Amino acid sequence: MLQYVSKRALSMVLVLYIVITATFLLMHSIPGGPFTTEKQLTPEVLRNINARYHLDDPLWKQYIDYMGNILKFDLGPSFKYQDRTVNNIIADGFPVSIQLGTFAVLLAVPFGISAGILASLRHNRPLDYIVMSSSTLGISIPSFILASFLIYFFAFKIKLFPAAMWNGFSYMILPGISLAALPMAVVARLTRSGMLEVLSQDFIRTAKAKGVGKGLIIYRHALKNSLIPVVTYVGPMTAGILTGSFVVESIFNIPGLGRYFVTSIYNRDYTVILGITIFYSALIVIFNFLVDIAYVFLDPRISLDKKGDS
Amino acid sequence: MNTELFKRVDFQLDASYDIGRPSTTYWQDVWRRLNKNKLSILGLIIISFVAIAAIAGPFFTAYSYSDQNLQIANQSPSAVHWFGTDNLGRDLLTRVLYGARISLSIGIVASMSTMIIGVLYGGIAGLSGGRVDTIMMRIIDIVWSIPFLLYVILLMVVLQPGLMNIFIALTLVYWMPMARLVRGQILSLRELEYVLAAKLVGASSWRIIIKHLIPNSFGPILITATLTIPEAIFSEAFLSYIGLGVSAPMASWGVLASEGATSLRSYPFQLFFPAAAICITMLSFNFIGDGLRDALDPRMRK
Amino acid sequence: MQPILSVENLKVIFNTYAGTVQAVNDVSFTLHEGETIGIVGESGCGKSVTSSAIMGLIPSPPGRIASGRILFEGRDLVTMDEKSLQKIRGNQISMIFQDPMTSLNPVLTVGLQLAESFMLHQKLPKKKAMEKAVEMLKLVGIPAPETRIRQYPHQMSGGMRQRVMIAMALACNPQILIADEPTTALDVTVQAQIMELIKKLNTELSTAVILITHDLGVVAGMCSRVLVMYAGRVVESAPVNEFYANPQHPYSWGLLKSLPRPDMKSGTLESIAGQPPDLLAPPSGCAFMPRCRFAMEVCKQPPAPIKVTEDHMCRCWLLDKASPHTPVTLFKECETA
Ligand SMILES: Nc1ncnc2c1ncn2[C@@H]1O[C@H](COP(=O)(O)OP(=O)(O)OP(=O)(O)O)[C@@H](O)[C@H]1O
Ligand SMILES: [Mg+2]
Repeated sequence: MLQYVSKRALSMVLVLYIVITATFLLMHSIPGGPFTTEKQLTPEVLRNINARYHLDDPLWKQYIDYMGNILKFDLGPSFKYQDRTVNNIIADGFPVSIQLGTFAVLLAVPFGISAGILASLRHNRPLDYIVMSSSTLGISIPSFILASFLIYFFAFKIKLFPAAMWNGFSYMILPGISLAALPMAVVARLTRSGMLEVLSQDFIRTAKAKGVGKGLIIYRHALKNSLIPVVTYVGPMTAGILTGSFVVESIFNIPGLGRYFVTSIYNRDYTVILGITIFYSALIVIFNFLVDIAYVFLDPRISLDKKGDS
Repeated sequence: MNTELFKRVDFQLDASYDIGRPSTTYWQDVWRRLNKNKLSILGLIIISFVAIAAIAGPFFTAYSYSDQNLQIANQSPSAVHWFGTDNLGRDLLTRVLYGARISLSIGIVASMSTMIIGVLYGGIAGLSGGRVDTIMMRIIDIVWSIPFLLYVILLMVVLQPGLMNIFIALTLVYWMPMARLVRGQILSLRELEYVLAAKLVGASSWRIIIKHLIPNSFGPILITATLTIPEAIFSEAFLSYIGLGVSAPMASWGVLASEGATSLRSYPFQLFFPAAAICITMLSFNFIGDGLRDALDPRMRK
Repeated sequence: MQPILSVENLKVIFNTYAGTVQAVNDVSFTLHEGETIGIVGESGCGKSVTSSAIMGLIPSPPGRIASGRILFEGRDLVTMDEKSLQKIRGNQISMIFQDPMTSLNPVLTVGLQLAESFMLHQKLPKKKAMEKAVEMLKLVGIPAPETRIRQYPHQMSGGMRQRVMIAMALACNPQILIADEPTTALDVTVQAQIMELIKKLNTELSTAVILITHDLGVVAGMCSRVLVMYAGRVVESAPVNEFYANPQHPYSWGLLKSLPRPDMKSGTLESIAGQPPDLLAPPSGCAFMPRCRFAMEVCKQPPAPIKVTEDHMCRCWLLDKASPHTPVTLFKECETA
């Protein structure tokens, strides 16, 4: 186990290193540097700014400095807001995003799994068709469109929930649903197909032959097996909720990290874009690592050493 | 009883007797199953309709997509302007039709280009095997761990917004699922006997891939390519929404939707039409993709 | 004596898109307490479907018991409700499946899967059930059962898994054990051990056994009666000695001829030339006719079951009163061919 974990951790660090380097080089390959778009700057001022942000250093030196700072968990200053650092922005925005994201997961996973199980038990019957068509709808509506419609109906028309801002639980509901719709649909589909697959397996027939009742067959013999594909989706789901939060937080004007990221894109605030990207990457890579370990516990067939090799 | 009946008949094994079931070819089977899936057929019909509207529609409208006329700004849908007008007085129907051209072509071009790159990359990795394969797949593994959309956003920040750059950014990222798929297919097909046989008679790797592997992997490739189209349309809409889409006055559905969303309270129709176009198209492609997946699933074959 | 199980005119069909598959057609037999009967026949002739029908495990849809009765202790299993069936399954009638590799749940421990029977049918608490599970594993000859119960199926060999399956089937000391080709997936030495085990349990616990197999040699060693199935029907059924001494159906001759003997190199059931008919569109007459070297014009009509002796039945036109041929001479001809 320890060997597997350390092996995985090592490859995680390698991935992060490569991602950071690539993002850094990408951001620094923008022709002319980050401040050239601002026409009103005199060459004099430009030079000052470049000196202040060490942009006049050779690239390799900037790179080494940047990497050194990352080791100290310092993602550098913002170009646009001189008094703020990327760390400040993350500290402000991330807790909000975490709340919203957790809420979305709590909506998506239980409801998705239940819907999937119900559909599989009513295979090829009306309930199955209803679940399947609504989940196809769920994966076909982009979150920003869903968010707009939710705002229009629930905030403007029937005034049930607030349309924007972040002042308590009722502010979470509409953005939460907007974010949760897609993962809920995917979880429902995965659970359904997983259940159908498992229910047709030989060992289910064995359980039936033992006289196990329908409820126990589903709960004890089928569920754990069919949730394995759902667990593999946890990584992509996190990624999806994360990217979804960019637009959803912007639409609902929620002061989360996603909105700051989009703002930094509008502003072409390169250090912030670079810093938040690295932060997100680290988050996801670490999360995937944890999911992988959880997976090992769920499926006894996976031998740790073999998995570490592949 | 008639003794004639008890005469022994000439014994010979009747070969035709063995083939009880009418034999159908694989693709006939696939087509039959796809045909039975009403939602896929509906999807196909809708997509054809949208495609025809995108190609021919703009010739039939009396308006241009870019001419502004502030006197008729923000008009609701009417007999003159079916979808209403936007805040600069442009006919929304015309803009949605032009948007269809842009969004659909983004989907199709992205699907095609990712298919070509993915098949080549996955093919080379799968056929080479060994260290080359390991390295090529490691590269994908590393990139895979970060959300694709994040890469697309970064690329668009670097490349600057614009239609051509969207093509490039989407292609640079979305080829990877296809490459993985093709490589996996090749690895499993390589084990099959007839490929081994082809190798024994001395066919070269490339001849094998063209003769056996591609036709056999065609189904899964087709599914992935089909599902790349809505994915690309979605990504483009997403990019437009955060200000990285095609540049004005050109407008994809995503741009139209994000413009419409700003005046959601007063003119909801400005969001409704482009949003409906996006959703219906995505839904249709997903129906087709699902139908293809079911139709091609060999386990269903009896 | 009253039989504990009697199957009467069982007919099972599957509705597939291509049409209706008549997997089992007009099958009847009886099973007495402590008796072992063998069912033999080529792949696809309906052996597993027959046993699934007895267990009430025909997958539905697409399958359905179209007609017939299955009487167990005087009660008809076909019309019985699911709740009562669950009380019988695994408790009074249990089954060992063809493939031990896929028949155990990969994510549950062997112990739990075994203990489950005791928890269900004898309402034992989990701890007690686990102790019983250890006993059962000991009974089927698995060494170190205390550690084995905590393992997962993938940590065991095929033979061991089949022993676990047998332990599971015998857990509640059932009256009837259906063993569906319990050894096909195993290698030869393990096969013999498993068969030995079933035989031992049959005599010690006086369980009645329905043994489904491809191996007529095993049938000779273990069974008192044999049923030969072809294309969903029983074509011949006889006491074992009678069957080997005096087989009546040309298909049985084919089977016996393909039985490996010391003087032959090898032989399998498949060595009868040709293939069984498609059950989607079975021939209107005798299903074996296309492969039968003694086929007659009349074989294009369905043969009726004919009693050779009191408990020897055969479905073949050769045995018809009007038939000029005597099977015995033909069998000789067949032997020399
Ligand atoms: N779920 C099903 N759907 C359609 N047809 C089926 C189904 N299950 C069984 N059959 C058909 O029923 C027939 C009998 O199958 P069965 O499994 O009983 O054969 P078998 O005698 O056990 O063969 P084997 O020796 O290979 O185990 C086959 O022709 C098969 O095609
Ligand atoms: Mg069978």
